Amino acid sequence: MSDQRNPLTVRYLEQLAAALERTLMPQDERDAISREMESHLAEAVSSGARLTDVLERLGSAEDLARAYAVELALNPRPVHQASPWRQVLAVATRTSATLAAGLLVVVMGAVGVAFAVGGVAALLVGLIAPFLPVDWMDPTLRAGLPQLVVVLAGLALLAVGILSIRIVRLNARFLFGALRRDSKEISK
Amino acid sequence: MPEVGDWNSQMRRGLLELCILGLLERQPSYGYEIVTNLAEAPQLAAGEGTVYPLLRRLRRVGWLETSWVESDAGPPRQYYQLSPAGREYLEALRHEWKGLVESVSDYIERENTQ
Repeated sequence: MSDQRNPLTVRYLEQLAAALERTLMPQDERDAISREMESHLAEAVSSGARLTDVLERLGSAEDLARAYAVELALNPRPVHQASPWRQVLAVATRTSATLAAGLLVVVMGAVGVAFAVGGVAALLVGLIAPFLPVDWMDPTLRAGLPQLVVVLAGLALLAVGILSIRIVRLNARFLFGALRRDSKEISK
Repeated sequence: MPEVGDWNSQMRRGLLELCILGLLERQPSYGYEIVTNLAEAPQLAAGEGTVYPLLRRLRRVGWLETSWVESDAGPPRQYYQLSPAGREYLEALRHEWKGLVESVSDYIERENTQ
């Protein structure tokens, strides 16, 4: 099929296609632009305008391609068009995850504190009981365990307690960070 | 009169977006029609080399939707129309514009009376 278009139109569209190719625009985008420009030139000419005037108003193919590239580089945040069902699912998932993480913080926090306090108590019992001649420091309080075992158990409990508290702190920081980011996102 | 070209082009850029969306709120339209329509407001100085790339961006971000329609005049036309999100965006822009005009008018008025 022969090309019935004006040679000026053909040349401009070829120049435009070449200029667009030098940008980082995807192929489908470039094709759509060329197609639209072809349509524009045809519309203008069929409305009575002189092709040379129309081309002059468009500017050079290079400048036009640059204008497209600049506009598309100014692409702001895309519009989220998730279906309502997906949005509900996303909110439900996020809420469950937040609740689970919050529960973990509370439980791990309580366990951490309990272990740390227990560890300190066991250490004190193990270390100072022999030097305090009072009944409540009687070896039976140590469940019949040797002093060294009680001290070691106290140290182990304290270590587990401190570790739990550190994990809880990290988890809480992450959780509050995520909630802060979420609230910023919602208020945008 | 002092040169205000640079300031004017910055301002026109945002206003052109508002005008295009407002235009398409009335009815879907194709590129050449939009350009011709905007040419009736010479202050906007909305040339083809500005309008078409802007239309492309508005489509890309989701404010506009497009469809190709066969034309008797020649090649198919690409019609633009507001998407539901674009309609909301236009409302927000209008609100912003009204607030801005009122604030600037009040400010200039105050400055003049001082």
